[in-house]
Amino acid sequence: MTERTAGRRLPAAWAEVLGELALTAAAVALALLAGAALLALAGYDVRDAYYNLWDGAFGSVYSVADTLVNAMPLLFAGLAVAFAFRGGLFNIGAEGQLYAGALATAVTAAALAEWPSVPLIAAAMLAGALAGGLWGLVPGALKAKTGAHEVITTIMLNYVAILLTTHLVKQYFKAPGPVDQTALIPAHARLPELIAGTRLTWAVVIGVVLVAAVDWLLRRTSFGFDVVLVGSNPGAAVYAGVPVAARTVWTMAVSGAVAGLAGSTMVLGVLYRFIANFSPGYGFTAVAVALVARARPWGVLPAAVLFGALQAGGLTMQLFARIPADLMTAVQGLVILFVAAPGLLYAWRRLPVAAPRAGTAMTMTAETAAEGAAETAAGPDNETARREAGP
Amino acid sequence: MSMFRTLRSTPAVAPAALVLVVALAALLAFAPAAQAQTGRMAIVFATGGLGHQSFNDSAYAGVQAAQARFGVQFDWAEPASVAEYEALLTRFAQRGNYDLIISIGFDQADAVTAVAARFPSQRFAIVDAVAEGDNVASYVYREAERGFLLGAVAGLMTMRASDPKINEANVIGVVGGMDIPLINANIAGYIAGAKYVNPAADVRYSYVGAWDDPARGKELALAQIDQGVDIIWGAAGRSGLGVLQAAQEAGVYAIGADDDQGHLAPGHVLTNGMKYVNNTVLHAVQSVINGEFTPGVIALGVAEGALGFSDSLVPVDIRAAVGQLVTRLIAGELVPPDTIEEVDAWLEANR
Repeated sequence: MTERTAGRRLPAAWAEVLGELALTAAAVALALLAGAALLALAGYDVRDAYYNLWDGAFGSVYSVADTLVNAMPLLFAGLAVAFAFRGGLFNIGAEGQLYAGALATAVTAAALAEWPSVPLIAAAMLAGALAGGLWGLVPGALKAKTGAHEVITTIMLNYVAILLTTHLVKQYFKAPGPVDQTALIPAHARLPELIAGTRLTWAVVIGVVLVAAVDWLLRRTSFGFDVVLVGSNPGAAVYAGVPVAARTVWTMAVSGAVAGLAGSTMVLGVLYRFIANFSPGYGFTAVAVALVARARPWGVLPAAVLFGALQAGGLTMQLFARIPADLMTAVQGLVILFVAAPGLLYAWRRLPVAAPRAGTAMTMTAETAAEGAAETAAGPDNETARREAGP
Repeated sequence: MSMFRTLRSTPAVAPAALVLVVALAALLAFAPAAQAQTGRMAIVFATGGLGHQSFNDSAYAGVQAAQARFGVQFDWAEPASVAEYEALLTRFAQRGNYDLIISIGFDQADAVTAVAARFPSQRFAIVDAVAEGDNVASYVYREAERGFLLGAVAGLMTMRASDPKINEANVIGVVGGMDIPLINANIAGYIAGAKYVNPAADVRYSYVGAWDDPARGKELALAQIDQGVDIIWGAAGRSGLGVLQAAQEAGVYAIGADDDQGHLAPGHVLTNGMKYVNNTVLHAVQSVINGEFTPGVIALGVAEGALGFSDSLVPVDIRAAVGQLVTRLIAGELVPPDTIEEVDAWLEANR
């Protein structure tokens, strides 16, 4: 929403945020109950499983730290996907962009090892952002120049990035030993620990600052206004004189840069080196994070923590309650399903739901941005209708 | 409507959400108390998962054997990537209720060293690699013993010119992965074993220089076969696959490494140099059960049932002859040399 409406109706806006949080919490709870049914059907001890899920995610300081550590790459990559969503672009390439960023960061940190700590970390992160940005710019440019759909190009570039970084490591940057990985980065290039004894680093702070920065970019700058306008109504954007092609390129470049930082913080804060194939699919989970966040920068924060908790807790559930990894993934999938499809809740509460328009992915993204940019003509009407019809 | 539609009918949903959250919390409240148990172990497998007839499956067989024999409890993890090792080991170590945490595979060495330093009172074991720490037992193998048995099999077999895959020349070969002590111990044992049973045998060896270059492995194998080699061992990781392929194409015998690779070149794999990870795991568990856990490097060999050769296509009489060498290895009467330079002196001494 625009600054003006937010300023005028602050209490209403807060009520709305609280309402969505409640809705999301309900969806998560429903998903976990459905997951409990699934676990019980498969013959597992549900209480043992969920006790471990909770214990691994929030049961101790270490667990909370682990949740946040797991959330970090999802925060950066989710923010990247959300930003592209707002510009009407489906960036499925965060995975590749974070690989590009991670390798660039690892190589830079090794090359500038004589630099003092702070400029070294800054330079390494900048390199990661540039590499990720470049990897995002390519599909943006392809879309702007040739109309090649960014879903296809970003997915394909994921494979290119993963294989290319593996090749580069093997060929040029490999540390001696059996594993395809770079040498450890120097100690002063590592992000300092936030809580001693955990793997939680200053990446958290950098992440929150970046969320604020992206939020500011979208809401307070003319670039952000253009991005959202192009995303919500390209036709109107052309009419208003916005250079749509250039904005598409830049939206993807910024999105890629933010995703690149996901790789940078993994290297500087968790792995301390680049390891070939290190990501278990952060860039793909990031799409779910952005969906759950409803493509809002500040929404990415709790959404990333939610998925980080599911990963950290899911791991203990797997290790100590012996739930197979596949079943754990299924429970996580249920959470995505329930959270990203609030229609299920409406049905449960017997609230009327407007029939979907053309139900393709692209109209959904366009609407994503539309919702954030301004209440479109159709929006308020439907909202009003639903409010009036509700119990 | 959009999936990002905002919800204005909050008051209706909020209580429902609350009810659900409370229901879930109630579920958690009945969580079982952590049970204290004796003989509890954790194992972190190598990447690649279970069910591929790999190191992992052999390790899992060891877990099952340990469960059956000692009644120990096992928790395990199947990492998907090298990047996960440290987090998994940390999770296990953090529980503090495992008598031993076992890591499978050489690429876990860094992770074990790092986590062992952070949890000094937790005992770790790593199989097929050396990790550092006063609380870490590193299980490696007396590689020369395995090379010795394979050399003896090949040395006897290459004299059997009645076999269609064997030529008149008394030459066998081995392709090593890298020119490193571990591979050279294998090669030294191989030469010593071949010449021990067949003093006139000529043993060729070369190095790929990489573990993952089957094309180069094949090239080197074909070069050796051109020189009359009719039995060739690929001790070169994945590069060894090229050696198997070369043997199949040239119609000679190959020797597989680490596990039974017979299915990769049917009819051509004479025998395989076996690493019995299951017995290694069992050995590690037993050391803890018996209160004999000792940190440091522990080399296992034929005597511990950790190394050996597979019967595969080996003729019965050769099997029996080499079986006698196995007995003498176990008795400690034969201690094969670890370096190629020592082979001649060793042969003199063991004439």
